[in-house]
Amino acid sequence: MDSESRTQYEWLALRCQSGEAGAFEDLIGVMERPLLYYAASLTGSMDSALDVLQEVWIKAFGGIRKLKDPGSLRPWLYTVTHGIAVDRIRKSYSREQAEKVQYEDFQEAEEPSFAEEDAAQVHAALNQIGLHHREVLVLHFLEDLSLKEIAKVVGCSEGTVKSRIHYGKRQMKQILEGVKYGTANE
Amino acid sequence: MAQQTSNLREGLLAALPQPENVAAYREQTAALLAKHAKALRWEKITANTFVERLPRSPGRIGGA
Repeated sequence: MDSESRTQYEWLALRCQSGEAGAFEDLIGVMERPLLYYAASLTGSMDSALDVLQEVWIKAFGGIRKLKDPGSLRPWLYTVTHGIAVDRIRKSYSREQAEKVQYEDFQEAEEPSFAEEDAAQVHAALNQIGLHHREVLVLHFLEDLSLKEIAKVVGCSEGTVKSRIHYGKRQMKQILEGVKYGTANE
Repeated sequence: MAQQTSNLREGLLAALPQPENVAAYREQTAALLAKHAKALRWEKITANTFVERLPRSPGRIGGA
């Protein structure tokens, strides 16, 4: 993420913190889709992801003034989303079951589409890897967060994040090569 | 590189399927926004009222 984008997010956080009319609508407009994608990658269901997102907005509206560094708006929102989604997962499944979650809604987009270039294949491949790897890769691909920021969001060390990104990418590569040579879903 | 990341990001977001209960979500989010906007307005009104009722500053205290 370039410095101009970071400044825009920082400015948005400051507008929300100052209580400017319309700032929260802008926040939702900018962050809704990426947070929904992230929540869906954790919960495995679009409808659960929407419930998570609803809670995220409630927490965000109430807590954004306590955000000390407005520049950390995006990592903060992902941290909030992570906490809510993990709580829901714990309530619904055991962690082991969550690892096996396949997002049923995502299966619709599973068929490789070469017309849409790599993104559709990456999206489908993300569906096939474990939760820990999927989570960090979504943050990496979607927001280009730094290792430090991702570590803070998921609550582990930077080394663990680096390792998960590395092995996640290797798994993705294997899956994508399988797709390329027509061996993936056989 | 940044452009490549941006394209991938947009592609992934475009691949996100439309949730079934999006109408209920939109409704709840709009209600939440309205409630929050009302709270902010009320906060400003009370803050302004409070400031207006404060006694005027006597100016510098203990000036040279």
